[in-house]
Amino acid sequence: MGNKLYNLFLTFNATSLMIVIFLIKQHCIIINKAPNWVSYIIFISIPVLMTGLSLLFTRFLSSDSIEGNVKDLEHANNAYLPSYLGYFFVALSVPDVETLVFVFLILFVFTYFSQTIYFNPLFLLWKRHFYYVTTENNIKIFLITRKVLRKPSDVHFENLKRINNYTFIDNGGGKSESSDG
Amino acid sequence: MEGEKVNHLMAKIRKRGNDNKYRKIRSDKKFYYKLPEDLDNPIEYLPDHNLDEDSWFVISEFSKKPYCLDILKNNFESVEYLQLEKLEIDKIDFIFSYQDKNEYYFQRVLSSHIVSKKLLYIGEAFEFKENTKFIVINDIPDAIYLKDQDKLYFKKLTSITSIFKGIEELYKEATEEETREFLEQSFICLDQGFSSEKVKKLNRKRIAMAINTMRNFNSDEKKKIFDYIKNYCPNLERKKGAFVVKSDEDLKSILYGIDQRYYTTPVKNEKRIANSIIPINESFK
Repeated sequence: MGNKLYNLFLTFNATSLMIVIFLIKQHCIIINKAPNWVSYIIFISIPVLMTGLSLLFTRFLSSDSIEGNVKDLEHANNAYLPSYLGYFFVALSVPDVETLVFVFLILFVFTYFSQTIYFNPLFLLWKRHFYYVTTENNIKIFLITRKVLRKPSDVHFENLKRINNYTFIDNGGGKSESSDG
Repeated sequence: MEGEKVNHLMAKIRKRGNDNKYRKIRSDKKFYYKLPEDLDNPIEYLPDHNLDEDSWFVISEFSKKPYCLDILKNNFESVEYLQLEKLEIDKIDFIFSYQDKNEYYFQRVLSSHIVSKKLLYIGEAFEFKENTKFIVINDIPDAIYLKDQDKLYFKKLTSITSIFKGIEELYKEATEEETREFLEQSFICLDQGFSSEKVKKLNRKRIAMAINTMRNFNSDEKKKIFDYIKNYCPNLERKKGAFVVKSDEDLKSILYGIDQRYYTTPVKNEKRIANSIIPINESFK
């Protein structure tokens, strides 16, 4: 149950940028006295902060680990781009709020039921990277982590959390474990 | 009790088709089972050996056996398995935990092991729950596999036959036909009223082994064995040199003889039967 709520939350984070784009397109303003861009920045910061919050919540997910029996590693940071550009164009061409609500709902439902809901580019702002990992037994999973991974032997995680059966996120304590550089 | 490494509790469910039937129950740094301290003097499995309470049977080079599970042959990664769903709980066949990156502990789960009861938790807060389903994790698992040694340890073969399909070949019983053939041999004379149908389960197992043992005897050795049986079983009737078998008990005496289980103590010359044997060199390997 908790897991489903969390998945809904992640889906919302991944798709909410569409609403933000729409609001900007419509020149929506929440603070009258300030210039428009102040409102826009507030709009954008909401999904960014919510994504940050979702990262904090991962600690309540069930644990997992990867011991390093990995055959293949594939970078997936750019994989979200085509679908994301799709969201943007849709948002830019939606004429009114009513249409937006329906288009957003359809998108939301499909994103929720597909296994790619975590292609949330906002994770990139929180320094998370996306990878496809193929294990020795040819099972492919999607991994979100802070670490920069270059070769299959780099893949070794003791603090993994399971978002769903195909998507795992490395909590890594959230600090100092990053092996950048 | 917490360790450094993540340990995984897994379930195998009963399901049709070829899909992966393993599910992940949970992972954490707790130890679900503890490595028993009495694993150091295991006995290579012998079907009719009576195990002491503190010892274990072992099967070496287990990964080469036909009944070894694929999951033991491959390297284990928990992320490869789906999470166990609530609906699948009643279909659990057995559970196992993967600990310390080397140890696998197996526990068979019969439907009667999945208990649905009213529970009162006794802890900081007293919590009452109705219809809670739970599985009791035994102190002693049904089987332990240590990957670095490639050895499977267990205490009772019957409790792991549902986990390792085909392992029951180890305690093979003689078939009706084998039993009949065995009883038709010249050194046995069946009394009227006794026939192969009357041979009970344990003797069928002994016959299966005796057939193997006899195969390795030459005629001299066979003669020696018969004299040995005569010597130790004076009550066993004989007709034209053959042993008369009137009952399952008579048959057992002969089968014990073929297995050379009769001995005399060096002091006081007491004649004895060993109801369980282990080759000495094997057990101290």
